[in-house]
Amino acid sequence: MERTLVLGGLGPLDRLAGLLGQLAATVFSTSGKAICSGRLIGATPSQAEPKFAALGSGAGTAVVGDTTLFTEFTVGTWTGYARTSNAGTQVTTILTNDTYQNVAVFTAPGAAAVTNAGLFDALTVGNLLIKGDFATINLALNDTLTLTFKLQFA
Amino acid sequence: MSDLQVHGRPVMISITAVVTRADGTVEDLGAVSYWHRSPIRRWAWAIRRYLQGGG
Repeated sequence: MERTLVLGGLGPLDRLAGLLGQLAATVFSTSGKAICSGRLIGATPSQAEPKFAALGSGAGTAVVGDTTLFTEFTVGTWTGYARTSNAGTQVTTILTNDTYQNVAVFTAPGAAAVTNAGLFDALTVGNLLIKGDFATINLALNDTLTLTFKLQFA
Repeated sequence: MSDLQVHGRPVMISITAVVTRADGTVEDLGAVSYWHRSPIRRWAWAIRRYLQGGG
């Protein structure tokens, strides 16, 4: 009984800490920093644009050292990598053109539970720019998932 | 004296999602994943998501 009373007496900060423990994580990965610096070099940078959006179905919390998604869809529901190639754009959040934006549209070829997503610099494998995990998004056959990735610098 | 200021991190990263069901129903899930350099902005987003039932 005493234990129940203690748990029931959690203060607002304890509740907030518990809430934050459930947070989805979004990261600008270590490899993403290398992608950005590489894109600055030369008239035609050898570093490819990280314009390939990917989906994953595994559980986990994204951290900056990640190089892959959690169980990326590479076989099964999608035939091959479920990546889409999308032209990135510069958009304005606060200052003119301060944000890189990439809009990806996926059509589910069957039932799928999507738990994380990211941007890569290649259609297969490649280097990870940003990654986010989130509450499961359940898709059924022919459902369309539109993801908008934003990376704001100012 | 010169002064060089470089941000090591971006200001904000977000992933927003919209699901269009096969029958045409549109579900705007909003920002499903979000990070902001300001912890207050991150907390505000987390609390808003929690209250909306989005985990």
